[in-house]
Amino acid sequence: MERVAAGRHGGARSLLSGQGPATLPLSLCALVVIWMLAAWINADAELLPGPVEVLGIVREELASGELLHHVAWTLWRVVAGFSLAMLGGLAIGFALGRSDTVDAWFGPWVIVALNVPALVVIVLCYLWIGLNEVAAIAAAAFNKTAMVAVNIREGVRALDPRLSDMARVFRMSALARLRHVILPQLWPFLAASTRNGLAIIWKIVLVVEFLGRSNGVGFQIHLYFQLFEVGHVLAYSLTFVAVMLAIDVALLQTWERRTTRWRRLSESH
Amino acid sequence: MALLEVDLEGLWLSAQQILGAIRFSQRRGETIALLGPSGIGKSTLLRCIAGLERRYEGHITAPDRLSTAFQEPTLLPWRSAIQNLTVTTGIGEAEAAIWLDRVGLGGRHSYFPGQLSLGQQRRLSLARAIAARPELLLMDEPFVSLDPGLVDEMMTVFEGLRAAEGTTTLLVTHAEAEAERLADRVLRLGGPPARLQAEGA
Repeated sequence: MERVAAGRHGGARSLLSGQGPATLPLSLCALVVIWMLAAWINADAELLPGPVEVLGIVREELASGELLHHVAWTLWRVVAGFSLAMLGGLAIGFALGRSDTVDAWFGPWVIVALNVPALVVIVLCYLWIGLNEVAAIAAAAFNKTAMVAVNIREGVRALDPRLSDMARVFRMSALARLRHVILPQLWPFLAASTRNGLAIIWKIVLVVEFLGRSNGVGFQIHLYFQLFEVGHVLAYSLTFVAVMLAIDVALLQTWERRTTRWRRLSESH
Repeated sequence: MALLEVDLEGLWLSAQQILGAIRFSQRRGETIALLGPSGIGKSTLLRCIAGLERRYEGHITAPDRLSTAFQEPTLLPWRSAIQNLTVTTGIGEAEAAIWLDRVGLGGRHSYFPGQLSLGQQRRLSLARAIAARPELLLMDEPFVSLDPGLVDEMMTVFEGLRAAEGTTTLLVTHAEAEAERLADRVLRLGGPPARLQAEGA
């Protein structure tokens, strides 16, 4: 059981873990106040619009349907790229973690992939595949796959051999082993990959859209960058930050609470 | 016809001999105790029989349906007591509930292993091993490091289950009293490397 607990560092950290229930809203309010002050001192709504003006733009764009349209496109790319990266990373990480020979040969490739700048991958995907949706999602996924693979490799190496032996002796089916023996041990590593993955992949998707798509939040930011509309740039990016934080709280934290229930109960015993 | 046939010439792991020549067979319904000091390779012998260790020289003919109750309960910490039975052995919930009753874990269906004491975990592990309806049950020091009262209680539980199911059992232990009480036949291992010594009654 110690082995399982050792994977914990990967799991629990949350974007929104504060000290008390009041700390989080206070901290965010302070940020908005600083923004307001900066806008007031700067006194140039074109260069730095205040929160009220940006909120007004958000409302306008929401009413026109533009905001939802572009957020939906970006969200789709995030979800597609993320899913591909998780599946690919899981498969590669499994192969690397299971066999030392595979790791010796292909481990270095993963390190290389890990160190290729996201921008290079994006440009190459557009050049090789074309300026289309496939290239956009491939670029987003590729940038993340190596990271997932490295994470899962550690998780696979930490699998408890005693439990694997037990599963073999009792002739558990491959599916039952995966579901009840392997995945629960990989959960902390999957959780870490999911968290880091979502946080990074949406930023990559924005660059992907900035460089070669005609919709999505990144495209809008490109557009308003050329028009020098700081307010719109802020409105679109902050909306998407809010969407990603909502996903973190609503989905990830709930999921995590469910899958770690046994640990909390076992520890409190 | 013997259920288990062991004809080992030896086992070497990284140039070190762990097991020597070991030859014995076990009939259906019989309980054999392998008795010997700790660290002599008894557990390794069980791993060979269970098919988890295959680098030995010689032959082992063992039934396909095996189960184990080891010193470490090796339960799934993220599954409840009742799921630990259903998920590993494939029995239904109703049957699993009966097994929990039989080993005195009646009110603890939804407990996770981490919420159970070591004695309770061992009993759950024993229930799992027998509930799998094995042709051969392999037990490795299942009563070690428990209070004497608890050891007696667990042996009684085991004897009851074995009598009801007629489980053929191969028990590894370092405790003379355990071997004498539970086994039809005691095989003594000496060494290292582990070798079979004169056979007792």
